[in-house]
Amino acid sequence: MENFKAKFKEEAEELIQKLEQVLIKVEDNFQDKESIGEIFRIMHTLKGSAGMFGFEKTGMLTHRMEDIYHAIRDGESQLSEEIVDLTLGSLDLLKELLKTDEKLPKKSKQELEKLLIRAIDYVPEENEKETKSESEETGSGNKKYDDEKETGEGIFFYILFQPQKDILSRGIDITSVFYELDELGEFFGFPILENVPETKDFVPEDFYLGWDLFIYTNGSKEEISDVFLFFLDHEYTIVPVEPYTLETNKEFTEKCVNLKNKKTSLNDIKSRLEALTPKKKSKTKKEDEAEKEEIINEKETAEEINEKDPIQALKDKKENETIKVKASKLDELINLVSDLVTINSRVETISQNIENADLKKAVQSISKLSKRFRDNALELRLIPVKVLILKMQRLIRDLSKQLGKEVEFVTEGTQTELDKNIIAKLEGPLLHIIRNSLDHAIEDPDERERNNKPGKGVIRFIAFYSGAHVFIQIQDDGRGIDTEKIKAKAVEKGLIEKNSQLTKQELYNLLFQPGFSTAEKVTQVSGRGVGMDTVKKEINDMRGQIDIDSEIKLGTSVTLKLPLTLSIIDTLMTKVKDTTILIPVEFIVQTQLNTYKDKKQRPDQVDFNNNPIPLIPLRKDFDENGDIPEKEKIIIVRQYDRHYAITVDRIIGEHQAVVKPLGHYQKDHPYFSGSSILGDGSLALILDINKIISNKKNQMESS
Amino acid sequence: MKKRVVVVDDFKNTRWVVEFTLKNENLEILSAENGKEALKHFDGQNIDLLITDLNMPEMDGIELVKEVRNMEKYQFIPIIMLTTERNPQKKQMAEDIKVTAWIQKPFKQDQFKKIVKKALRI
Repeated sequence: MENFKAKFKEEAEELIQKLEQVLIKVEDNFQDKESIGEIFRIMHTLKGSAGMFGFEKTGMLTHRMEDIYHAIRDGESQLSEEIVDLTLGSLDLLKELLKTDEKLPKKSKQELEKLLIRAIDYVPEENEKETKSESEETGSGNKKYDDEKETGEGIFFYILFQPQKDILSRGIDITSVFYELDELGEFFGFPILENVPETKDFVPEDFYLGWDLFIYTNGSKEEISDVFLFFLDHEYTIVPVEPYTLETNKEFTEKCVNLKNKKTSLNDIKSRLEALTPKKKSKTKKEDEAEKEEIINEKETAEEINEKDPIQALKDKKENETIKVKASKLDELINLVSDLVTINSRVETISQNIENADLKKAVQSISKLSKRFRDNALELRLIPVKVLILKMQRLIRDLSKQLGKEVEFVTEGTQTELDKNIIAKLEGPLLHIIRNSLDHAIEDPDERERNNKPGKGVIRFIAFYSGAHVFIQIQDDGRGIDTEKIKAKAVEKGLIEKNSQLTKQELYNLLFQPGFSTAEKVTQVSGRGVGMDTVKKEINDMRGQIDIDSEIKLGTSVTLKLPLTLSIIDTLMTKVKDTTILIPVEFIVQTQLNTYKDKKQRPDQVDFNNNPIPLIPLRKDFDENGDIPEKEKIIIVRQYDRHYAITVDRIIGEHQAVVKPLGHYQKDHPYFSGSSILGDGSLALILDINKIISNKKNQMESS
Repeated sequence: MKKRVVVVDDFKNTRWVVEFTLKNENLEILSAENGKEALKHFDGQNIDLLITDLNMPEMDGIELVKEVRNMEKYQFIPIIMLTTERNPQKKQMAEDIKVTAWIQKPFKQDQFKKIVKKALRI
């Protein structure tokens, strides 16, 4: 039972999400019959299964909602802003109910009661209707659910099968047809005996039978055709049919002239077809009328499908079919694949020293395979950024109302895919950025009109690929960032000198300083101190970067640059003494030999493009004497618009590293963010550029 | 018991490709360069499938099929005709002499495997 409960919760969460989507859609058009119908249906489904699994309050709430939308659907009342608000409110409560197993905290309990009372106002003639609608609806509603299942699951085919007389001498075993059809689905048939001759004319090697066959299958027409692979085109015909369209299906009636002339009547077939239809319940008389209507509808849809080529439709469906997998299982798979890749490179290294062509070939194949395996497995974790949109939509909707602003939300590239772990971590930062845009950037309608802007502001979400990265941009057409204000504030906070000359970009970067907020008044919404610095940290933690660009009075855009996946990175392999250090390639600008004037003493800064940049000598931290190796290499890295020089003893080459997190005790290590096992089984450390640079900055500031 | 398949083609490469395609199907493959040689395999032992080329020296595919179908033991065995032949007349002829399936060379491995497995009912 617990298991079922978990399933129910999972399903319910999905439905609630769907509801949110539909609600936001319906808000643009209160007359959208289709969406209203959908809301009603989802509420109904929720009510039904909530009752079944003992979620009483959930059932009560959804029942009330269902009533409201039932009335709207039937034209007895009108959808309004208030109802949408009420529904959204109920969704929040539903989520909480699910989460807490209906053990609501006191505050939410009161909210639920209030909501239930408010909801009554929107159901017309409630007392009179309730009992009636209750019984009626469960009947028709359940049926609808069944019907949906039915049409979604399988399809009927009629097959006229009339092999030629010589079929046996062609080496074909007819019985295999029936065995294979049996595997495809449930079927029945009637033999065609017309061609069977009188005993005196009977030739034992000849074949005289034929069949009218009916099959209900989840398979496609192609799969059925495959059963008849060895038969000639004129020996079989496959026609998709529905029990209801039997009389109207032209192809079918043409092909089954045989049937009509015989004892088997069309009605007989119909009833047998219907008997095959799964979960078809016997209906009460009362429902018969509704039933008729539905038959007509189904006829129409069946015809529609016919026009669209039912087979293609079926195929499309198959290709888009998905299954649900527990995230932890997926993570386990990725872990195993990473181990495989690691061991594989070990095997590669070992086999290099063994002269055996067969072994080398085999190892090569394994390497290829495991790389494909890895790519495939990683792809499993990619999900479209679309899943983030909903939350943003909801936030914009609620907030803009609260703030008295009008905002349109435009999205682009929502199919762009990212690792699910990144998506999960992105939610917070993105919502924060949106909150900022709404609160600080987008002006009140009045102010906008004074500045000759349309009263309705625009927030744009854009996602796209570029190389091994995904870019996400949040743009708004608000008032832009006033660099003067930033400067004043920074001076006030003692972050910069009053007369320091900073570029626009450097000023924007100040926004990422802890505790920096330019909002003149702290509103309920933003400017609570947990600002952009947290956002930046979270983005950096997933090896991403964040950039702000703005044009005063025109708008602001915040750009996130994110890696496609967290578990594999391209690195440059280097050595510092005996330690192998991997430096993520994405930060590296170039590498060069050292140009120290004094070979015994490292300078604090080196020249890069005629600018002095700070030097970070890794060796100093590994070797207390700090001897400078003769050919010490300098690697220029860039963080945002600043360059830094990191020194290493030797550069080995490029290396694709499978990232393993550091152990618990080392997770706050000041330089490294992870490790990786190399081909020879030894360990390499992955340098965290963000960490090491901020470390360097602190050092510089304190000295 | 392993199913036994006779593969006949005068071109060594084709025989090799057929064997390669079927190598994982756990079959015993007997090959021959032409019809005459192939007939030697039909000596009373169980044969489950004949895959043969159409145009071959000594004895061509059509004649081979006729001979095989004439033997009582092999009267109903499945036969796959494998050929580059596009001449419709010849194709009609092969149909007349009753082969189970007809595969045009060059063939797609998957399709070929599917047909063979179906003919063998594996």
